[in-house]
Amino acid sequence: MKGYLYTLEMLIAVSLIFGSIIFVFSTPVDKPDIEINMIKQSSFDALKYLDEKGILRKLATGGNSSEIDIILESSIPKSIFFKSVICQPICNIVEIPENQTVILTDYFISGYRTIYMPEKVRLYAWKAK
Amino acid sequence: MKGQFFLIAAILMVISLIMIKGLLGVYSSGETHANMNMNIDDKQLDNINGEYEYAAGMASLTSDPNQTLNQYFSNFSEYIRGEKDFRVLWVTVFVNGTNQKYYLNAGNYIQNKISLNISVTNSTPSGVLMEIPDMTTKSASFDSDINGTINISLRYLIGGIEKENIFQIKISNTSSISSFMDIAIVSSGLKIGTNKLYNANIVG
Repeated sequence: MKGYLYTLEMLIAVSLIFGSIIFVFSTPVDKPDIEINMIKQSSFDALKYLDEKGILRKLATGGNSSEIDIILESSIPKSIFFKSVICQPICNIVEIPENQTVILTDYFISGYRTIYMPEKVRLYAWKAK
Repeated sequence: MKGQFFLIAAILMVISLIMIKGLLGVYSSGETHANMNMNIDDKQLDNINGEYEYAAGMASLTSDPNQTLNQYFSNFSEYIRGEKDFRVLWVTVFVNGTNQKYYLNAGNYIQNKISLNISVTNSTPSGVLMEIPDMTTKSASFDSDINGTINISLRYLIGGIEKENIFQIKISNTSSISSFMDIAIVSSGLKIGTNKLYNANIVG
């Protein structure tokens, strides 16, 4: 009789352990929220690409942020809205959406050809709703 | 009695499994965030390094490359210091192709005073010790004893770590610019740094 009881208790114990393991591991681990970092990386890579093409520096020293926006459209995913501004050194006010996370990316420039002019191109990016 | 102990142990295991359930993803989340932040900071460092090199290139086109180089590097260092937590130590060398002299400028923007020990080969003097306060530059000139390669050794202490870097310049009839950069960015409590060398001959 005691043996039966021991066996029963042991079975209950093992069932408890297995049941809790199933419970704990049944829901997958939440993926880390890396969306903000991904947008920041995309923004930086897009600006770097323009720089490597020799376009960014010329447009930035000329204060031509609208042209930068037009060219960046093909480099940044369609699911991301963005607006660039050239800070020489102060950044102009830009219209960005309220109640939404807006990601800032800065790309520094020291000048263009023989013109030394330290400034930065700031890209505001946010996810399309 | 034995079975009850078994049961008690099982209950304790169940409780601990439930307690650690919430922690399962924390480490990987934290690691992923840290890795991505470091990736972006690394790209930013590359950006800054590239801009110093571009500024050196622009300086080489002017009538007084040595003075202009010092000016551009100081100005750019002050500019980026005002933007983010960059820490920069730079050393530039201008070789005058007409008189076998070379001029060394050092700029300290690491947010602390630095003691820079410079040793050079085949030159007079053979070295110099520069005590450079933060946001200050210092200069020294050297006479080369040879036409050929000079080794320049830089020893300094940053963040309690002694660093030594050696680079070479060439003394010839051609003027040239070299620069050594030690740049770090501090972001989210992490410091990432890089060293870069740049050389360019001045033609014309």
